[in-house]
Amino acid sequence: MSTIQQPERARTAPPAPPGTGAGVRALALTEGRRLLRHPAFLGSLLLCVALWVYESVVAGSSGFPVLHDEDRLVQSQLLLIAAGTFLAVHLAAIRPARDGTEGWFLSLVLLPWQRAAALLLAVLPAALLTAVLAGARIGWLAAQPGAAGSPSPAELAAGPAAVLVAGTLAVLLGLITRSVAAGPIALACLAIVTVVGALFPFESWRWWGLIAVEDELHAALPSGLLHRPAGQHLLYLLLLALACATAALLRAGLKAASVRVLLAVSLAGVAVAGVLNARPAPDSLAAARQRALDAPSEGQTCVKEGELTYCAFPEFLDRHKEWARVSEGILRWVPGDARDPRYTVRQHITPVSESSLGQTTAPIDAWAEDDRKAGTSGAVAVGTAWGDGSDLGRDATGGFATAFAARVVTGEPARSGPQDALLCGGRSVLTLWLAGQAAPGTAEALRSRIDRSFGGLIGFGTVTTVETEQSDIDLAFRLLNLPAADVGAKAKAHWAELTAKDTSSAEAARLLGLDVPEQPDGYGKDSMCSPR
Amino acid sequence: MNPETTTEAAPVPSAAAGEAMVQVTGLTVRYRRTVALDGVTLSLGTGVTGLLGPNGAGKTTLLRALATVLVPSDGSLSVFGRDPLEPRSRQEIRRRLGYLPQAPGFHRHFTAFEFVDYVAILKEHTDRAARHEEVRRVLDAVGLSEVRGKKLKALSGGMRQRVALASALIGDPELLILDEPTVGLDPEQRLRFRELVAELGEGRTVLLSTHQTEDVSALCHRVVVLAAGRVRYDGSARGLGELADGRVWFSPEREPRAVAGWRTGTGLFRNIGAPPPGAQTADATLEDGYLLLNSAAESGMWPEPEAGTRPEGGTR
Repeated sequence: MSTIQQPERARTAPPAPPGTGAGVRALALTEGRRLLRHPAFLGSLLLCVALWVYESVVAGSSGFPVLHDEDRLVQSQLLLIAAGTFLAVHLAAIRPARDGTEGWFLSLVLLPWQRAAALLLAVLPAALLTAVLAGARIGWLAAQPGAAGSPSPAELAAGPAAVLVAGTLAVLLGLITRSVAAGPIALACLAIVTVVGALFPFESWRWWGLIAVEDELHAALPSGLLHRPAGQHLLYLLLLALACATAALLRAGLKAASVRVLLAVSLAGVAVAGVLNARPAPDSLAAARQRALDAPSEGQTCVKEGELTYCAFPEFLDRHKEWARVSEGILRWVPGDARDPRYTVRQHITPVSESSLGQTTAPIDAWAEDDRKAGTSGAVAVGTAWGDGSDLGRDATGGFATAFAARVVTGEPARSGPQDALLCGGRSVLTLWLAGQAAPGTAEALRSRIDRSFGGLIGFGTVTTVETEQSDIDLAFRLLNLPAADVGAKAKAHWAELTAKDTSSAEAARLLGLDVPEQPDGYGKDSMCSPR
Repeated sequence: MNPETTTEAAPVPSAAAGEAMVQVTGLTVRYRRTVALDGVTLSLGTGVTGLLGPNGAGKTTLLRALATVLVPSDGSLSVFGRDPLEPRSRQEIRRRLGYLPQAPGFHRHFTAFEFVDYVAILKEHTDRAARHEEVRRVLDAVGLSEVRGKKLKALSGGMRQRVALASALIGDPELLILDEPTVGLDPEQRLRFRELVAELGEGRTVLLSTHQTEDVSALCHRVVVLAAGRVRYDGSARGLGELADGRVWFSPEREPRAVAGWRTGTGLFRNIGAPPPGAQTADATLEDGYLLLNSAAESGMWPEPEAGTRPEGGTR
């Protein structure tokens, strides 16, 4: 049985010298450790990491990342940790009131404001851990093949700063009201504000929130064309955290004039930084975007790889290796005398519309004029997206393969108009087969697009579009089931017939080795290609 | 005798010797219209002093004022020669003070070790290794070494009370203020607790507020009785018992003139008050004296004994 024993004397540790702040630091360390072990914090951390693991390993959607977009996308996931921090810190802040120790602890040496200060400092390790996670995530993405761009330190720091804001706000809330329910209610309000901000990605007032979401359905832009006042926003968040912290200290009883001044200054700073953030994008940026859209050659760098020239915005130039893999996979079945010696691939951005209903048609004529001026007439367009990790990436990959194959087969670059984009007959079958077999993943990219389409015509591409009929797609995919070398050899041998305008789809399929019966009279008369 | 007069039964060490750790003069605490303490004056030196009084007497208010948690409405208070109203002095007092409140409250998700360690940090014990050694020491002192890794929510009420006591012992405080510390302890734990407090009382000041007169009898060299916010008795424990000398008697029936009485195991009634002529008086205990004092405070006058039965022990 346990007993009360005689105490040993004169073995006690002397308290710290008064006024050194050592007590606050010691308490901050303890509270910090408790915060990092708190189920709410740990749960949110695990959820965030699980999302990344799912995205990267299970869904495989983190290939070909654009790092100056990913630094921003990381923020929204880190908000989970901010939420966990908020709940855990709030519970810690109201712990003395909740557990009835408040009156007792008043008799101890550390004053309420010192305990509040320790709790505020305890948020720092959580923010630091969040920063490490953000760094690890972006580092992992940067190590992925095809990573483009470079992350902004200010964007990466916004996630940890949001954790700081959440933690300091939780301390303040815990000092204002002792209600346990106040935490989840406040968190729900913050979540609503964040979701509303995300619903209006073109509104400048969204910068008043913890993070500012962009239109994530739009393909990436070069970093110089983004309007992201990330540095100012980081300053805004840090000042907001400082304002919450000083308000919490005041509320906890530290009435020093310096604290009042600091609170006033930080609040003023929050207001100024918020107003600066919320300013619309400057006109110069809109002009730069328009120039990059209409005449991209001015800001691009070109590189020659084999017979081809690839021109891209500098941050994306490394992607030319992926484009070359596709184009070379197509050109290997093209007879030498049928090749254009000046094939060029040029990267384009797509128009940014501030409404989902807005006009986003590519300025094909302007591009043709830009290519003419740059001496790259007939260049095949490629976008800023790539890979097999998302629908956008698959559409971009399949779209480029189709566009390049169409350029090789027809001798013309792909267009975007309803009629210009339509490919018929043998050209259509050959183009689709060339695109599908070009590189690992291109057939899957085409299949993905088909699975998400309906109607008689299916369009491929994110920048320019090649449209084909379902019947041609069926033939092309039957050909893709045959050995590529056999079909490719036949393609080379019958290139002139296959690329002739009047060769029918069935004829082309037979030339390529497919056993296709003659179509009865009237077959396909309702198709878009039938008048020909 | 005027019941509001402080009585002094026997010489009290330390306080009387002019080495008072605590000096209270005319201390008054008001909560709106209620006067919780009404001009309390006393001094405390080394040793264990018991604080008795009925519910609402002002015991906890006095302890909270001594623990620097409560600001008095009037009067003066000096602890270790310092004024707790002065912030720096108050912090210095708190460094040398151990306070176990009546309902201490616990962080249920902390282990016993974590909780005492947390309190140690709030007492500014900042060196981690030394602090942990100190936490182990006080947990060992209250016999909780075996369960120091258990969460408080898993411990019994008695064990939690010992955790609170261990927390009060952090830093070997010179002044220990214990507000009903034996609540929830079983008899054996109470016995051990007495041994601990007796040991603690050697060389430091312990103020023990309790309803357990046996604890006071066993531990305290001095007793202060509060009633209605005033000191009704301040003297030796023996002297408090002596107040009832000649005022305790047995009778076969309940005595209407007794201020307190109960049927004992023998079937006889033990009565406290002014005995009838010829009554056979019994030896008085501290509890008898305390009950007599309380009833006097309630009635506003002393129960005068019949001629020949006046107690000799109590002085007024």
